[in-house]
Amino acid sequence: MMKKILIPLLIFATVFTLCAADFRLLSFADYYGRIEPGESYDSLRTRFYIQPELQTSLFNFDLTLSANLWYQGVGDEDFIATDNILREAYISFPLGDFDVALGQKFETFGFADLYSPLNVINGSDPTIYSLDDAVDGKRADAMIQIQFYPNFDDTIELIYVPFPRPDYIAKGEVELDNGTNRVILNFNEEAYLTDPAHSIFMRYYHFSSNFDLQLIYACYVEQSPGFDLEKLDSNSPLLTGTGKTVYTRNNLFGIGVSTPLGETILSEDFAFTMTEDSNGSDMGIKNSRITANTQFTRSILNGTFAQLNVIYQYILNYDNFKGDYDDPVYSDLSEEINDYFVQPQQHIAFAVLHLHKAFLREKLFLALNTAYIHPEVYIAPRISYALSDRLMVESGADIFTSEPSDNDLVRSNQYDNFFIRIKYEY
Amino acid sequence: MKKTTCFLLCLCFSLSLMADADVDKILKEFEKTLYFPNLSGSIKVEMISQKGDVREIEAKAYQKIIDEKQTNMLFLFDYPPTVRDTGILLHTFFNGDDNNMWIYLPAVKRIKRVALEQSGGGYFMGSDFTYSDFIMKQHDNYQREFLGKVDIDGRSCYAIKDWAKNLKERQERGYGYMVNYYSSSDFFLYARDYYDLSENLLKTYRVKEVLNNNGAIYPTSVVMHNVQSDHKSILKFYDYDMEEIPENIFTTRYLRNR
Repeated sequence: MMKKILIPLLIFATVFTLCAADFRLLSFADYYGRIEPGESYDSLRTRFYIQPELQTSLFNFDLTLSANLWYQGVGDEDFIATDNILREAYISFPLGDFDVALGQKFETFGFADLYSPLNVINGSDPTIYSLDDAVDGKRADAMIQIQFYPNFDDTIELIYVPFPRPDYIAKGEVELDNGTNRVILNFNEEAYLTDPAHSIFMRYYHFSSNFDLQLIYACYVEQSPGFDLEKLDSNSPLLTGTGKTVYTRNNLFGIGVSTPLGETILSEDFAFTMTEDSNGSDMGIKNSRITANTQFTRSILNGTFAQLNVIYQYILNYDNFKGDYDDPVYSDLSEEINDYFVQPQQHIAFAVLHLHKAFLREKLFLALNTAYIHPEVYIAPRISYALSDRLMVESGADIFTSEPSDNDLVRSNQYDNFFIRIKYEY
Repeated sequence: MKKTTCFLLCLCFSLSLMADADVDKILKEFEKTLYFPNLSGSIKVEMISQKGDVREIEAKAYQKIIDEKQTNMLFLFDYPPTVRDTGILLHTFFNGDDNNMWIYLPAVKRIKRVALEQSGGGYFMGSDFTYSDFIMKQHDNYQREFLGKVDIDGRSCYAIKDWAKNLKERQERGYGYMVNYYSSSDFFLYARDYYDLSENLLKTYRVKEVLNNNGAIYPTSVVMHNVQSDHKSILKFYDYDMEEIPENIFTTRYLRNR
């Protein structure tokens, strides 16, 4: 483990001494506790985290290098997984009307701040405890990014990701055993996907006084795995066998618009995502879908920042595979997998409200995230206080009115929790 | 009696006309002092609490007059670390068009269109300045009254009361009215008192040092003091430059990939 920590530090130290560099550091220590009603109190994690970052310029090139390092006294893993240590490592440079970036880098698509159907670049880490975890939520991809500026208002962008990074799932084998089936799903843990490989994202970006616009086409590898279920055996009364995870390709056509409407900013992200299972007959692959995310942002109640997102998704050819399988034993498996795909119904609608306000000259910051997915509610209050320009204490809770799912494939945190954190930035 | 009344009415009317003429003349002369086609530099804001705690903001600032109706501004923040690399691009208009504001959020590498009042409740990064303090107002929306000549910090100034005609704008800006103090020698705005919606003194703005470039004047050291909370912000503008700023600085490309 020492090697894991020493090698990135050595790289940092070498580059730092070679160039006139801007060194930054984010570090924190936090504690998450489980406060699920009906269950005993439990410590979920104690994490000591550092994120060193180096930015430097050499000739016409800008270099960004950053890493994640953490140790957990309490939690599923003691140390960060090796493939998650490198956070970003890329060079960027202007070339006339072009900007070019090469390396592992975060990127964001769409105007909606959360659940944007356009933001399909970069895998995620669904094992986070808080849905607004900005540190662990995304995984940067190694990419070639070319941005062309024909004029001041327009950008044409091409991103090529040769080996996409999948969502981070450290589950290994998951055995589904619910009376009608006994199926083992084997989650592989590839750091970079080679089969299938190659994701391409194309974006046209326009900024103007009246509106901002994004048009997106993406032919990309879905970062969240599906399952090859062909080897399952349904001859016995039980459905048995082993299914392995597979990654499939999606085609996305999307548009995003952001415009002022009086004192409100309206942003609309709309996407048609076509998966490899275009007719919905394969239970192991996500269905094609149409998604709209409408975001309203404005200031209310004497300077409180308010943002409302209303998300609607229509799943095409929902449950079409049933025509191929009369056996009811498939129903349990399909329910499990559809929940895992976040496609539990043909129509999905939910709303998320975010409020925040700063007090005491922005030293004290209060925020509230709430989500309504009928009939359940998610409430996440947040408070942070800046002890100085560099030192901050934070606390919050994630409360779900629903019972934790007993689905074996659940990947995200389902338990009510609270956290406290002390954070230092340099 | 009738003659006396007529005389007094005429006198009041002429005084009023004189005051209006003075106000127009002072404002026109003041506008001439503001003409910096291009200006860039670094700003440092020290925020001093009642207890004496000091917090700082450091940023690079760029300002360019595009034409008679539009000025563009760009702020790129360096300090504190929580806002480092955040950028704010402003396109401001004097002809009544809505101002445009985009913010670059480095943590998510996203450019977000926002309304001015959505940024920290209107206050500039927790200081005593509001975003609207940096933006020129549309003259037609304001009423003014000449209050006479006064002495401010040893400088002879014309005092002009200034308030938004409609209540909504007063509420948005958070001020009932302001009293502006223009120097009688160079017509620059050296001081301003802000009164809240209850007409109590809220904060004072005092220019301590200026950059004078052939009659064009820009404040380089300013103190904004909130007298109600006894919180103070000292803004310093340094390492300034008046060379031509390329227009591509005020684009989302520069905001994102600077």
